[in-house]
Amino acid sequence: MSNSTTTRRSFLKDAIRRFSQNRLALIGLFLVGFILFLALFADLLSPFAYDRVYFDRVLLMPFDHPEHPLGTDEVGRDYLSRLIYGARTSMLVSLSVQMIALLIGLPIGALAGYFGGALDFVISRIIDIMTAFPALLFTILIISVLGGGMLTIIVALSISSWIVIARITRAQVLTLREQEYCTAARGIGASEWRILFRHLIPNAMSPILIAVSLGIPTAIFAEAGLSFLGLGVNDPIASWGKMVGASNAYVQVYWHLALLPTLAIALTMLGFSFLGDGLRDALDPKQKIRV
Amino acid sequence: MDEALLEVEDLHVHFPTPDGVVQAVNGISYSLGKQEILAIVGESGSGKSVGVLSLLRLIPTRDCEVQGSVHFEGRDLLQLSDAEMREMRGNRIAMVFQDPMTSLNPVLRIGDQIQESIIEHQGISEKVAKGRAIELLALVGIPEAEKRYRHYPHQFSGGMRQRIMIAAGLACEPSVLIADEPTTALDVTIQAQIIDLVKRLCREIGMSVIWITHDLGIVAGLADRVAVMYAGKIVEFAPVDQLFKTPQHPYSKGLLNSLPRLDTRSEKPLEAIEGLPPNLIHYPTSCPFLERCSYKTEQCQTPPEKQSISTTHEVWCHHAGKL
Amino acid sequence: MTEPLVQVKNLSMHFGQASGFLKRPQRVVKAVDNVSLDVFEGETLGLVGESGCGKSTLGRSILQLYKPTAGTVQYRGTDLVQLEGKALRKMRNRFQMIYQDPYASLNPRMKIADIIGEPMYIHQLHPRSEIRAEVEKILEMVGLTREFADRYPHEFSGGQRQRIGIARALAAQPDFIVADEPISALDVSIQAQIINLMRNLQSQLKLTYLFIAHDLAVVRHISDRMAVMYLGKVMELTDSNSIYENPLHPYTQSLLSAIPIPDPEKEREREANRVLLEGEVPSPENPPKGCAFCTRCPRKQEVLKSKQIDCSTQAPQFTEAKPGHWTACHLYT
Repeated sequence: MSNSTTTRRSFLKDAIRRFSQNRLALIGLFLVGFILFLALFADLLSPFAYDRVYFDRVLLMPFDHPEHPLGTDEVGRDYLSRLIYGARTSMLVSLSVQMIALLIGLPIGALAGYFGGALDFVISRIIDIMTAFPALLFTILIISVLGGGMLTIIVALSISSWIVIARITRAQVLTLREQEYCTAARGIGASEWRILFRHLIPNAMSPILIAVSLGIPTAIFAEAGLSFLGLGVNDPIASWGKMVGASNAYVQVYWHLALLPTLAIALTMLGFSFLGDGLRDALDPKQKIRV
Repeated sequence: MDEALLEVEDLHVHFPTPDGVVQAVNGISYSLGKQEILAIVGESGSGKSVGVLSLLRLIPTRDCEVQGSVHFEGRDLLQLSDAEMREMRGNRIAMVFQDPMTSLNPVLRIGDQIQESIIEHQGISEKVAKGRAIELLALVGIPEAEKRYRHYPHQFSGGMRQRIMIAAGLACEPSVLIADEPTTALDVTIQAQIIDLVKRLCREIGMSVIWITHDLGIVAGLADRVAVMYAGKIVEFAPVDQLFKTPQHPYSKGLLNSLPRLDTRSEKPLEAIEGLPPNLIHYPTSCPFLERCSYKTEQCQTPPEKQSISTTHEVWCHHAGKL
Repeated sequence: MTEPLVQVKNLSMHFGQASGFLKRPQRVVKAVDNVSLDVFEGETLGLVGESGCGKSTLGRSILQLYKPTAGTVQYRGTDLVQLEGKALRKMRNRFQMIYQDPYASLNPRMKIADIIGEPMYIHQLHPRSEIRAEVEKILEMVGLTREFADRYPHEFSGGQRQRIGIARALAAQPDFIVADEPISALDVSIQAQIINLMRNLQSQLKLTYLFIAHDLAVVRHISDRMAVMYLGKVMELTDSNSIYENPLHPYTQSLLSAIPIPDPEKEREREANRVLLEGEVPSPENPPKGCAFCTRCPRKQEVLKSKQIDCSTQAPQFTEAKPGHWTACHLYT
């Protein structure tokens, strides 16, 4: 009523304004930026290689040795370096998983939502079945079949993650295809593919991006959990989850072995959760999307 | 009209937003007489709804700033406490809104919804209230009122629900009915029924009506007096015949000329009012209609004061009476 | 006005017919039921009726935005209903639509230049390098300026957006335009601007309009002929003056008398003879067996007495009661 004549800002500018006024989102952005920086420049930032072993410097406490400010682990590797490389593993796994989930889930969800019919029926039932199956058990099953390793983890986690993206994309496309501008696109003779790619998907992107960003901490946690159980990345690659797992026997004395990687996991997840929530508040002010 | 029932003086309603303050209503004054039907006409954003809903505090006060005074039955409505205002709403002043689909509670029987306000405000027994509710349903033209009393809102069509809303509004025999575009969501044949009903009720129970609308056709057949609003101000106030026969403000004149008429056919293009209404955040310091006005002169750089054409016909234009 | 540009014959659009994979049969809504009408080259045919009467659905099924369940739509001799896929898409630039909601009908993520340029691009109406210049030309034609091209829809008011919607339709170089309530979402002072624009464009570009609206005054102003719809059927069809001056169908008569005229003196006169229709429109899921209007018709008894016909069981034929004046009522058969 009264707002019809107020100036309308662009959606993006509005979203940026909402995001930049959200203190938690900014903290999240800072944390995520920091972790990504560590992951990208791990080679330059870490004082030692992640697999460099000093047989004479096993299980040093933090600040015990000037060259190892955060101590060393049970086989004499610099803990700081391993923590930094752990960020790389964590980011590599979680970002790849979400990227693959997006690449699989988006087209499948979009096709199901747009074309409907038998295709939608089949895809929806697959999604239902996958949703009903406990994701963790499923992942462990795949890893035990395929054997461990970074690639296997990524594949295993992607298989359960694309479901979320496909479901959200399908729901979005289902509502958006009833919008008048889609009818209008058909009216000017646009092909089905053109309508899907030019008109539907660009408008469906906000909630999908939010789902992706909120999916990252889930993937980080899953990777850490699997590595903790010994189902994760192979030695000598550094992984926070594996570091916590390996510290098991020594933790009563060498507390830093468990505490530091746990802190790293917690801060990273917190960062991504804040960022994802911030993105949702910024891109979807009416809070329609539930992930 | 000797004595005013409701008197609004210098009402301002402002909405603070991140972009600045939206000046939705800028100093409007009007009065409503007994048994009178007053129409407030304007386009979207003219402040016609806000100007009336803010009287009853139906716009959350945390969203807007309301200034001015509203005298009704010897009290200033804007000074009432929330509890006193609740007592006033529905009891002395009833309301009917545009959307009959969402104004009724879907999980309550309509009879109970009508009874609710009677029991709430008049403290009579449920049995008496029920009889009264059935009487009201019959009054607004719901057939088989006794049976329909037990039905739920979804069992009624849009027009019927609007009748029920009116029945619920009338439950406490209010002296004023405020109707905010009550027929906009309805078809013309149903609209004609509702208008007919309101006019009849106005005669039979001596109620006054403020009818907010954008449709000049409805105004012509319904209202006694008309206030034309533009950009949060009343630009012309007149008895209905005078407004339609001799409109004095360029905006009212433009509106009337821009309407295609059902009863005449002309090959000439319609006389459209070019341009758009002003931005209510950067409110113009000149006459608000200046940019779209074809009569503008130097004078119009200052906002016009009220000009009286006759005792009942007021215009806010420097050129009033000279068009 | 010799050959009709668009010839609609026995067109029906029934929604909810049981079809497809694992779907339960639903109740059928006869949104458009057995409608026939011609639209002649260069004219404006007005289509009026109350909400839910099927006028929008009729417009959309003529343009094949819904696939009609029965009947034919001949456009310059081609039956559009028979066309599928690419063949239909290729023809779409010839007939265009202007939509009711200027907010929902423009893609919020596309620039105005891309919205208006899209039909030119799809139908290869201009070399790609010239599309931009053509877009600017059309923007000026609909009363906007070329600076608008690089902005997004949300930066404009309702009236401006409707002009953009008109520009998109024109960009396809159509000769037939279905305008689906193009002004009902706009403010009164803006409505006249759009009506005038549409009339100017029609004479400039030799367009043929099917103008759908619920406002009879607007339709009378812009149309040469008018069709009145009720519950999925056309009740009356004739030139715009006759419909107002000499309405034949009882529904048209009561519809006309229900519309308020912005003139207090006339209104007082009309109020005395106003035919207030009783009741409401029946559900299109379950329309009356005979005449669609029989449940509300004030002249039903008259028919029974003079013609011994029971309107509630016998449906009237759509016949030419007078030259050029068609109606579906037993009073005129």
